[in-house]
Amino acid sequence: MGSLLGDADVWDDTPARPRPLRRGLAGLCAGLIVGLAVGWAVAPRPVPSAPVVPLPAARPPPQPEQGGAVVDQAILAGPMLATGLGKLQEVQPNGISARVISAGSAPVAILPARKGAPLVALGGDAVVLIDRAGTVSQLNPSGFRARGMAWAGSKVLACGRRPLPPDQGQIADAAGEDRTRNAPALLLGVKGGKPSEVKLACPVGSSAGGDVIAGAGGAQVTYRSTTRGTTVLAGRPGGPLRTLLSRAQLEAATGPGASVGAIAVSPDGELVAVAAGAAGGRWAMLLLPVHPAGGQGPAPARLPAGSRRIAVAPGYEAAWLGFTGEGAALRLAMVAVDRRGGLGEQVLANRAGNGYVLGYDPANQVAAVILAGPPLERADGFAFSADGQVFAVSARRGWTLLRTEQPSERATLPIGGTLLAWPGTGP
Amino acid sequence: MRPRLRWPAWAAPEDGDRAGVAAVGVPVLLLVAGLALGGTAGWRSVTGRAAAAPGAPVGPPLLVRSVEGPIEELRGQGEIAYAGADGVIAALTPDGRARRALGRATKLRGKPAGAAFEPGGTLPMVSADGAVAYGYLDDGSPASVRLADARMLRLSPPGTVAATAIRQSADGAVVAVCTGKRRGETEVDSPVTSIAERDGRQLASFPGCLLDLARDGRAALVPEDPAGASGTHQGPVRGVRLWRRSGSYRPVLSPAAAVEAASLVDPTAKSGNVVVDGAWLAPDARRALVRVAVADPPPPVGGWRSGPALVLVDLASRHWELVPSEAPTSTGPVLWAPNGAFAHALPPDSWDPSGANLLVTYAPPVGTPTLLEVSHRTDSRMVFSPDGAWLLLHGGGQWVFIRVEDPSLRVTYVAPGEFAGWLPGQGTR
Repeated sequence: MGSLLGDADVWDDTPARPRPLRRGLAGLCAGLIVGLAVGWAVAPRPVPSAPVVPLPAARPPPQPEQGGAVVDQAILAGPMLATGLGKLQEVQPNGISARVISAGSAPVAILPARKGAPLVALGGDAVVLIDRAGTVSQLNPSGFRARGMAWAGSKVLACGRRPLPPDQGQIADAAGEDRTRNAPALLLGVKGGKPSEVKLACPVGSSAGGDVIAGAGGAQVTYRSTTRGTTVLAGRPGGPLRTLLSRAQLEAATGPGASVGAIAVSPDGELVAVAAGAAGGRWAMLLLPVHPAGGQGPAPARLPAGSRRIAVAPGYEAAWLGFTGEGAALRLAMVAVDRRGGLGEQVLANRAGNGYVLGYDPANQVAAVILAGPPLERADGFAFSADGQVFAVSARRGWTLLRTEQPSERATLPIGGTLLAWPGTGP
Repeated sequence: MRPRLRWPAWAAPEDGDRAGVAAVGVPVLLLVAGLALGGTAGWRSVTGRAAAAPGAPVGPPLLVRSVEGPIEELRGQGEIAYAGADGVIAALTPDGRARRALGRATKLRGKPAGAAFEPGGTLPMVSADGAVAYGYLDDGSPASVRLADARMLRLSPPGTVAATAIRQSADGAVVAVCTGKRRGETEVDSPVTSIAERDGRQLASFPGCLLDLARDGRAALVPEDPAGASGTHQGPVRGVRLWRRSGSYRPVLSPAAAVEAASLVDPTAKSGNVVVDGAWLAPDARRALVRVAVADPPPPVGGWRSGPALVLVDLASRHWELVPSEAPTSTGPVLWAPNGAFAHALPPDSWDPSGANLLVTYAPPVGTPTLLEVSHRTDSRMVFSPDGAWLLLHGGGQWVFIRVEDPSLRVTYVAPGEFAGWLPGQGTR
């Protein structure tokens, strides 16, 4: 290999050093860039993920509407009287507040309030007065076991039974029967005085003013473990009683062995509603005029003129009858409960069975079931408000209020205890 | 001449071969490593980490709006067919996660002559398999549309119209129509019930309009007195009997029993003024619910009118009993569940300004009835799910699902369309 003179420092024919690290780093960088580009280009694109629609937070399940309008109407009607846990309470229809009236007694019935008069209650086989202080005093004489009551003018008409003599009582006990026998009803003075007897048996009822009374009478027939009357009598307190319905008429309208189970007198004293039937037999509700046109019907087994009969569903028995209003606004309600099989012997509060409330408008002869089914399960108390605008049912699952003229408008309130009456005013 | 410059040939050093390999190998290796690293980084920049570590599966989007309640509870409840405003029939899983189009039934826009006020009478109803829609043409004649190809099939002779709503068996394979010649706006002369397969092949026919078709399509509840229904016009129904495809009849509720049942509620009930206004056959065809009422009751006074009586009849013994139910102002629907439960509704008055409640009584196969209350609702149209576990109130633009054994468990959402049937099966996702 030749060389140029004088250029020895310019030309260097020494082979360049390979510098593998530098080349490697350059290659790495180039590789990274190219790899990044190629990897990004060839990588499969995933399917776009589905948009996730955020679910709104699950709200608590809708609670039954409290039927504000019905409750408001009920509040206008005033307080109710209820019993439970051994005491009598005044309950506001909104279910919020309650006032104990008597802590020592748990009555099973209350008479409609009278101005200036103490509260009249039935409980523990006795008719009692409860004053503002909650003091209880008995009205009926000892030995009389009161089972029902009604106003009779200024007095209280109490129906009931008397205990059998001890030897007969033991026999009755052994037979699983009532240890009492039927006894004439008593007219009790609220301010004391000697009671007078009235030939009526339970159940009894009276008009709003107490000037017309009605009750069962006639022969007593067996009804489950006790006995009941077979005719219906009505009249004025202290006056003669007239037979509105004979036993033959009663059996013709219901069935053999029928007895009177419930009685209600319209507020104006013009109509008497009777629910009757035999245990395990067919029942019917009869609406009888106190003053039938043309007197009694010609045939002994026919209902008096102007009467109405509504049969009770087979297997059902009437548990309660009540009127409200007057004239064209008169309304009647009958509570019929399933008494088939084992339901027959159970008290209302334990009766896990069906039932219905039949509403009847006597002036227009319009009838309809206004409440039925679950609200009647274990239902044990029924009442119209004092103004007749609301009907209430107490039951274990809560109290049901419904507007009388618009029964589908209702409310369920978490109130405990048994509804006794809805006087609308406190004692 | 300019000297030619050339890179001198690289002379390997003395330990030559190893250094040469390193000079070539290191750059190549680093280049390859760069390619690998860069490629991986580029790949991951696109695919992310999901490919390496799969996370929780993401469910399909929710296809319904304004959901309240645990909608997941409705998974596996088949599909609900509905008709959209554009006439497209679609099926939606009740949990709102999947939807498919079944087809179009745009011609089914009419309504039966005798069911002008019957809820749902103007909407097509889809068979259980989602293949066929049943409805009415503009002239009121019944027709079916095969949804796959929109092929239409008339279900009655030309010139006749439907007197009542079309009934179909549970599987949709059998359909019953009552048709006749129109007389006036709502009446039909000499109505005849025809029971046919979905392809139109007639299985049986009898005079009068059926009240209900058995779940298997092999029996029907029909008026007790066919003469009244098969005469010159459709007369009032006084009693109910069971027609079987063999051609035999057996009594269900005689006119006398209907009067007796009606008199439990209305003391003015008597022979000649009591009519049957509905009858529903149980899924096992052994029981029936029949509603009877006094015809032409007095005009309502106040909020009351004479109420009907709902009775449950055992078909074998013909024993009947009252089903306590309220209907002081208006009667609501009655329906059986596939498991033998039944429900009946008490709709509130629509004009009620207080925001009234719809009350539904649910009677399970065993046990005491329960009350289901739905606030601020007047539309009482309802249907059971195919397994009977849920009740769907599908009217009023909102679907309300209520679990009947636990009524506090409810799901509501805006109705995607007009209800057209609850289809059994698992749905297509």
